[in-house]
Amino acid sequence: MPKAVQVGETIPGISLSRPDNTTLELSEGSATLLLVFLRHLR
Amino acid sequence: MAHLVEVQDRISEIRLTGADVLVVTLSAPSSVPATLTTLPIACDPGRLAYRAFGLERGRLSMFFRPHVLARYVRLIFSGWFPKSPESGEDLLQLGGDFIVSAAHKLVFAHRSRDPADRPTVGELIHQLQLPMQTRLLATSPSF
Repeated sequence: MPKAVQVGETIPGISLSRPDNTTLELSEGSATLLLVFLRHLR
Repeated sequence: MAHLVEVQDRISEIRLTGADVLVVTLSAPSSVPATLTTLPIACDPGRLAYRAFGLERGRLSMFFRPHVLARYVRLIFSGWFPKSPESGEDLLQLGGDFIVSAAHKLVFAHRSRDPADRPTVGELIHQLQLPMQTRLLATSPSF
């Protein structure tokens, strides 16, 4: 398992999909970002 | 989901700090209901981001911890009922909350240890209001 990013480190570039199937690059934003990782949708 | 509702309810306060919010789910795009949230959402069915941020799978026994049971009882009394997971969902996958600076550095991390382990939205807003240097000094990884 790759090492998890730690506080103070630069986040890795990861491509995710929006619900409309367009791509979103996690490290492309220009503002502070609050990331909320869900467990499930129910 | 209760955590998502709390974040959504206080989105104005969060955005007043200058921050954006991104909700990440391990569900596939086709499984995300259009009515789920008004917040931006990203799908990570391959769990690349979950792994990169160190979010682990819990054990079945975590559901039987007293404070987890108490949280589910509170949710049920507030009108929420457990439903079957969607295809591709993993009920053992744990979530978390992270703050990433505009320079793409991780400045706050909360990795859930069980389904009831989330920071309050007030705590997240407090962290967003802190100057970055203060956050880096005050925050340590949660494991």
